[in-house]
Amino acid sequence: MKNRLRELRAQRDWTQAELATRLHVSRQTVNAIETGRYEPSLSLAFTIARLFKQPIETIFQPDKAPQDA
Amino acid sequence: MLYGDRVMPTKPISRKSAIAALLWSQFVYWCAVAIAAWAVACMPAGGIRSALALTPIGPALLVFSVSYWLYRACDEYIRQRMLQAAAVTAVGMMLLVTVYYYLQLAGLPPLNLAWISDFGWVLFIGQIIPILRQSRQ
Repeated sequence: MKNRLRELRAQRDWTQAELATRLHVSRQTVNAIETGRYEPSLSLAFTIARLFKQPIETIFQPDKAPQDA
Repeated sequence: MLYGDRVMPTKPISRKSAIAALLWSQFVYWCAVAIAAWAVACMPAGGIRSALALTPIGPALLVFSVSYWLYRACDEYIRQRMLQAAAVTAVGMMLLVTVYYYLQLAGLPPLNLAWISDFGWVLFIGQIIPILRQSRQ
């Protein structure tokens, strides 16, 4: 799963710690999401989308689109 | 600071308090284990000896409670890493028991369950402390 968290954070000039505080998670969690080591839960993904006022699918994109049946 | 889920709010606790709680509970547990070992080795059979031998059960429950409290106080990523640590500990203990079973068949003395338990705790705490130390803002 790819995400634009680092890019969106940089646009707002926030540090990882600032973003972590806004999301009520640890800085380590923000770092792990940005570097792709951790995929957030649906609940946290929605919180991130709400914070950046963007649809969830513009922030998180799957590596490969699912094949049509 | 460590952050818990917001469904069941928990007061944020500092990384220092988290590690201190873990180490203190371990300290109490190991003291109780030492008392139990001493009682079994040195005291004559009787009610007091049996009571002292059972002493570690209380601190063991404390260690479990502290671990659960820390788990609840952490966010989802740290929780995932804690569960990974628990899984690694379980696999480590399983390997120890399996390997020693065959060593026992080869002639080594029977392994006391306390050693297995101690190995598990050391392995678990050894993984948890670096996780908690890294979970800073």
